[in-house]
Amino acid sequence: MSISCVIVEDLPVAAEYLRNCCEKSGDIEVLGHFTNVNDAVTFLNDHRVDLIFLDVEMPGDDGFKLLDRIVYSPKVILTTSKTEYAYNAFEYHVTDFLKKPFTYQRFQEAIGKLALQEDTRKKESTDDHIYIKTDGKLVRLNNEEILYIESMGDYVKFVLADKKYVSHNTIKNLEEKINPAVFLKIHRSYIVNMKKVQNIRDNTVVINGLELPISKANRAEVLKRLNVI
Amino acid sequence: MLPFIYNELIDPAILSSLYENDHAFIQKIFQSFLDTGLDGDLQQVESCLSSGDTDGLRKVIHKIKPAFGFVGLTSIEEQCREMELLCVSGRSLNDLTEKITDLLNTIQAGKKAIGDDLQKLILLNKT
Repeated sequence: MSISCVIVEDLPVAAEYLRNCCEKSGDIEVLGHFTNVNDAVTFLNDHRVDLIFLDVEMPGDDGFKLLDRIVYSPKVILTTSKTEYAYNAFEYHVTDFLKKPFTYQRFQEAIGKLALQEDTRKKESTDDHIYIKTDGKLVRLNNEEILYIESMGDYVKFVLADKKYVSHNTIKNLEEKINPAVFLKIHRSYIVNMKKVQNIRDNTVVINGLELPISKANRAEVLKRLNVI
Repeated sequence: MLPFIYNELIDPAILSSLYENDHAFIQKIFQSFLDTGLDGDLQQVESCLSSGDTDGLRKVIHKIKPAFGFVGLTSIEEQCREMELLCVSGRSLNDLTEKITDLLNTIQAGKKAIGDDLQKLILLNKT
């Protein structure tokens, strides 16, 4: 397992400790260390990482604001000296909560949880269909029928060749639940079925004749997924 | 190898649980603690105190508190925890001033202890 991460932490000694724990584990590559949310958001929206070690209380915006402002959903391990954030941690689906100072053994446990979550996600996401709640009923959609999914604020639109369904959900939430072998988030507002992509021009993908935008942050991942010969 | 004897302000049990006696790791963290310093934060403590900003005081003490935990200065970490509570207890500024002065003095002693033990660790890790 090789995990890319960033450390968002305004206490230098805690950041140094974490960096050493990552090095010692041999599995985790630290791509950057940021002492405030703004700098971290700028980096994260240009570079995809697997994991964020995130302090909560920092100058300016707090750590949870960072999670609201990034365009994808990496795994998150909170590092804080307060336990009062447990509810928010639950709300934001964070993987673990490390209370500073924490031992290397506790750090390894948190990384272990990450691996366990990933295994569960892979097992769950081999499904070839999903059920969505729409118009008061559960409707089964086969993955192969879905062209793309579009964000509409607190709702999402599932676009099929001949139908559209609107359901109360978010792109961020769906990104964690749909089959990653089939679907890919290309923009904060779009997840597309990669098997339906007809071509890619500049910063757009074409599906069923429709042009959908690719964001700067997601472009590298889109190109990686294409079978370019 | 003989056990490393730390300054009495430093809790060896905490260091052992955090670093599993990896002296090179401890050296890095002690160095980082001194290099990155807390000077800016400690100046902020003094400025919050002089302006009577108890919320600012609580925030900066909350921020620096775990730094002491990472270097085994657990008694200072505990003092910080008590200060955080005092800041929200509505105690008079006079009360806080006295306790903050105590805390700042203890922090200076703690930094000296870390500096002294860092030198010993550098020698130990060279051999």
